[in-house]
This record gives sequence, C-alpha cells and structure tokens, in this order.
Amino acid sequence: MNNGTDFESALKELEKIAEKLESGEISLDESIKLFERGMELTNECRKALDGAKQRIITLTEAEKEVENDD
Amino acid sequence: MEIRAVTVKQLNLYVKSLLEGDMRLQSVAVTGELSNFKRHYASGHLYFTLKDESAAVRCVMFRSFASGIPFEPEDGMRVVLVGRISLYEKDGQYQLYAEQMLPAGVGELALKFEQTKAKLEAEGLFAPENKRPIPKFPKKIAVVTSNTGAALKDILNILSRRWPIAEIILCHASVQGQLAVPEMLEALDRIYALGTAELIIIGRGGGSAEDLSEFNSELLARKLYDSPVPVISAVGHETDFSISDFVADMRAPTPSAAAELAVPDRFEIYDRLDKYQNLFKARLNSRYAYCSAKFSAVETSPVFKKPLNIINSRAEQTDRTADRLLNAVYTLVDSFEARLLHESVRLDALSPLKVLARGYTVAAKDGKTVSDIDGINVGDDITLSFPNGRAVCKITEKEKLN
Repeated sequence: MNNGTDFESALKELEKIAEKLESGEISLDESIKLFERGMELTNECRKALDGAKQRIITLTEAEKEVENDD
Repeated sequence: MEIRAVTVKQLNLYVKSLLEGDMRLQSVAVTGELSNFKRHYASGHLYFTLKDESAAVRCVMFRSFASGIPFEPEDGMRVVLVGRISLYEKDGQYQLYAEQMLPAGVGELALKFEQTKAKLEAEGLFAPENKRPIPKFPKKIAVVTSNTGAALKDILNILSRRWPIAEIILCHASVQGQLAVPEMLEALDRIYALGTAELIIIGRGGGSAEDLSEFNSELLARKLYDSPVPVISAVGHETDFSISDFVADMRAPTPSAAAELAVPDRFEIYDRLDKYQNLFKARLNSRYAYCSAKFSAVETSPVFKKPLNIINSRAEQTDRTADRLLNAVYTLVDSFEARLLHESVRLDALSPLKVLARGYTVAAKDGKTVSDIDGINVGDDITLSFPNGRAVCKITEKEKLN
C-alpha cells in the first residue's frame, strides 16, 4: 500500500468492524475473523502513513509533470 | 432665416435634460482633490469643488448621503466621488451630485471590489448551495501560488507534517502585479487539463490591499467558479475577504490554515488506529473470556464429572418404579381374591345341595329334571334325589293344578 491507500473507505470499514464486534451477536469464529481483518487494516494504514514521503510535482508551462527530488 | 429666442430658463432646462438623459453621466466615479469644502450649517448638505491640476467641477452632496462618509472630509484630500451629473438652472453650472465619497487609492479599489462583488453575487457565484465539500483524504492537491513566496513554504511544511501521503502538484503563478491574473488563469487551466488533482489551494501571504487586489479579479473568480474540483482560497489577511475567497468552496484566513483545512492530521489518524486496535483486542478478549467461562461451566458440570451419577439415579428410579408396579399387581391380586371369596359365598347359597338340605327333592325322568307335571305320565319311573342318596319311584297318580 502507498499513496493509493483509500483511508476513507478503510476507516469506514474499521468503524463497521468495531460495531459488529460490539454487538456481540456473532460467533467466536466470526469475531476472530473480524479481529484479524481489523488488525490487518489498521496496520496497513499505519504503514502507509509511516513510510510516506511527500511527492512534489511541478507543473511547467509545457504541461508536463516534472518530479522534484527533495 | 429666423432665429426664435428662448428664455434663459428654457435653455438651462433643455441642457439639464440632455445631461440627465445621458445614462453614462447618471452613474459616474470621479477622482480628484477636495477644495472649498463647506458644510451648510442648517441643511447639513455639503458644497465643494473637486479639482485636479487643470480642471475643476462643482459638487453637491446632500445630507442623507453625507452621513455615510466613513471619514471627515477636508480641503486638499484626494477622494473618489460616485454620483450623477446634472445642471443647476439658477446659475447654469453643471454639478456633480455625489452619493458616495471614498478616500482615493483605496477608495477606487474598494469601489471596484464592491461592484465586482455585487455583480458576481447577483449571478450566484457565491451561492452556498454551489459550495462543494473538501475531500477528507485528498490524494493529489494542486497548489497555485508564487514559487518564491513564503506562502508556498508554509503550505508545504504543513502538508508534509500532517499528511505526507498526498501528492502535491505545484503550479507557479505571480500573485501580484500585472502578470498575476493571466498567470493564475493559465495555472488553473493547466491543472484543469491535467485532471488529476482532487483539490486546489490558491493564495498568497499577507500584503497591502493593493498587493492583494489581483485576487479580486472578476476573470479569476469566474475561472475558480468553473473549477472541476473544490478550491480553498487563502489570500493574505485574516480579516479582509477577497473576491476569490467568496467564490472558493472554502476560505482560509492564511495559506497555513488552507493547508490545515486541506488534509487530515496523520497523528490524529494514528490515534484513531490505536483506538481501533485496542477496541478490537478488548472485544476479542471479552468474547474469549465469555466463551471460555461458558466452556468451563459445562466442563465442571456433574454430568461430565460423575457420569455414573446419572445412571445410578436412573437405576434407582427404575427400581422404585418396579416396586410400585409390583405393589400394584399385589393389590390387584388381593382385590381379586376378596371378590372371589365373596362370589363363592353367594354361589354356595344357591347350590342345589343346599336346597335339598332344606327338605326339597329334585325329580328326574330319564336323567332330566322334571319341573312340569306334563312331563310325566302315570306308570313312569322317576328318580328323586336327596342330599345323601336317591330313590326310584313309580307314578301312580297325577293331578294337574290350574
């Protein structure tokens, strides 16, 4: 995962997982699966943020993207 | 050729009607220097002359308009007057009937600002229902500002601290001077053409009103209104609004603030992720604890601990049932015996031997009991039975009773 991480949908999914886990109307098996999915998602999001280095592109008159290396 | 003379008054009224008929003269803004400034002590109207190096025009400002002047006018002051042109018939002088007086310089800009604002507002460019929400997690953000300005540094600093995951598309444009508007328009065109940015920040750091004035351009406003993606405008001053601020989807008081509004803070997201992880762990733990408590409750139940108990208790139950069954049978047998005894006593009473014992005999002919006189004839042999023996007798006589 990188810049393409969709934080909005990831956070929405996490919210849903939290709700399901709180409801208590699920089997132990299912709650283990939800737990694993939740941990996986949070770790992916964290990793995406941890490793991020801002990419800066300069749009020149020639209408081309020129990448700056900071 | 005959020339028809008119009165002076007729002449002045005619010229007045010409002036008032010219729409361009009915809404003018003139800049110049105040002189001969007088406030009429009784009426409160203002009488003065507006002049420059080589010309002058007589002016009147009625009290109702004069009360709206935001400063104290005095001779020598440079001002902008807004009003209409007409003629005073009594002395034939044309006059500027002023309705608004603003200090020159700032006044002219302010005037233009108000006019542009009113026009675009009437066209609906500022309508709240046209404002788009700023994306929560933008992946690509275009920035239009001067690449030499402090604003750019501020924006980049904050974006990299808060949300380094977003890609920045930098598009230089001058932000003051004559080149500013055309360069900003061009930068926006390039961003629109590229089509990848999800959000645009346009702005500059603080400066004088004149420095910021390019952001009041009507052309720029229309270009921003046409943006395919949301725009955050951040123009210098915290307090003063530019036309760009009004037309943008969101207005930020400073470029730094624009960057903060553009992206989430990753440290808040870290906190949220931590909270989720803790919650997930806690939920799973409590779920596990609940299940294992249930399991151990089952595990320690007597059924599993002493399974023979059940069998023993069932065996006991069976024994008891068998006893009850046996007892029932005994009771039944007893009651039959009692009944049998009772019935046999009754039967005994009816026994023929008992009857014979009471003195009766039974007569039989050819082995069959005779109970009817017609069954025997004189000369027949009949047998009489006694309890202790029998006798054969001959019928000698018979008499039938009626």
